[in-house]
Amino acid sequence: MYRRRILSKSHLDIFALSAYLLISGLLLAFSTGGFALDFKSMGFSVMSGAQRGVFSLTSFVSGSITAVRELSELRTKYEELTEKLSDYELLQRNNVDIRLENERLKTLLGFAQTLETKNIFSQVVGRDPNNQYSGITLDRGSKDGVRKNMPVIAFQGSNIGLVGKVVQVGRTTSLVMPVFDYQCFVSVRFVRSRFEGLVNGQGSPDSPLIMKYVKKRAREEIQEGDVISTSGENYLYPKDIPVGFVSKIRGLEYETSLDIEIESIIDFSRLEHVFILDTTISAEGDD
Amino acid sequence: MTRVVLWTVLTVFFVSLFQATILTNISFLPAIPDIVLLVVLYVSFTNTSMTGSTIGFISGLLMDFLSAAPIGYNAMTKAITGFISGRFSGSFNMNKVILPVCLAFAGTFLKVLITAVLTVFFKKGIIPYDLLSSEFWLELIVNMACAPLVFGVLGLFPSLFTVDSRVAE
Repeated sequence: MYRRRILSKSHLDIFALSAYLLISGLLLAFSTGGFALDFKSMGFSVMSGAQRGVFSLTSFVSGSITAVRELSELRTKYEELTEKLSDYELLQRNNVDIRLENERLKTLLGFAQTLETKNIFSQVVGRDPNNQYSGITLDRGSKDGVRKNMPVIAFQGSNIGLVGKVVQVGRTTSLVMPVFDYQCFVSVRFVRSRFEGLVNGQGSPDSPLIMKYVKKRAREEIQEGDVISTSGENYLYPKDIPVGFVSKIRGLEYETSLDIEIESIIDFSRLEHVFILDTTISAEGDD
Repeated sequence: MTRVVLWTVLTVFFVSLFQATILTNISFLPAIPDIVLLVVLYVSFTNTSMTGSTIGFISGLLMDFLSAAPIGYNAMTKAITGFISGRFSGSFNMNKVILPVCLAFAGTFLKVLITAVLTVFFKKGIIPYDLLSSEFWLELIVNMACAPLVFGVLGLFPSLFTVDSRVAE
């Protein structure tokens, strides 16, 4: 009796595991091969919406903590300055902070206005929880006009650079596949010598991008430091968006093309704000 | 079992958001610790393989929604991990440090092994681990380092994460 009960419990375990494996296998088959029902999209909408909520909450908490800390610092300084009757210094500092923030926002606004295509300003709210994947979650979704495969760019310092493309869109959030992802391929061209190639990531923002299929005769015309930009050939990415610069050139005797290491223009560890480009509409609103 | 599954799913929901939103932005962390994996290992090891595979499947599914990985990848790896971990339930005494570290080590390697097998069947979208890369070893180290802490915290709430043995029988 006891043995039979143990046996049936053991079978129940295996039955449950088999059911889970079957369901997850089917989901995998659908998500890798394409299926009418997009489970991933539905789940992404729910989970990333919650992720955005957690991000807002943590921003609020960290903002509040910073505000409390700054308040206590200001109080100390105020007491010192009251003695010296120099409130002016405090006001001036506040002015400097506001001016700096204003300048930063103006720069971003200026960049946004210089773009020829319609763009959606967005903030990074999360990154992939799996180490071998590299998705970046943004706080704009289908509600804001974001669609799958839209290119994403960013401004850092005075540089504009390609970030990647949108691969998943939720109601209020979207997921971007960055250029350093294993599965990201971008058709590019040397800005100076105009030779073409294909750039692919190595899965880590710290590893260089690899540019392949560059004709061997280009060896004499390219050098380290040369800038490469999107060629615009597959219509996915607009033409002439800088991607990176050459850091190393490799070419084996028996191969007909060169392998070139590219350092991305974008520093992904500092990435905060991006622009999602709607290439179907120009900045003036023409289709 | 239902109570344990519900509490674990609730915990994993917040842990996966914490992992994706906060841990990924901590620059001094060499790799993102797989806290969800550690929760699955703890709950399955202190319960049964049935509970382990169930919470592994649901937890993995939640993670799939937040990741660029194809849906079903985390669900499958964590369901198998939970099942196997549950099979060893009661085989060893729950030590505060050594057992969690060993389980994290075995769980991470099992994930690598399952991922490698999945790449054979689902070539598109599944990225295998590179055993020679620093990313893998760093993840293994941070998982092992976090395991005693995660197990310790979950161990504070036995009524939420452990099925009463009399009820289980």
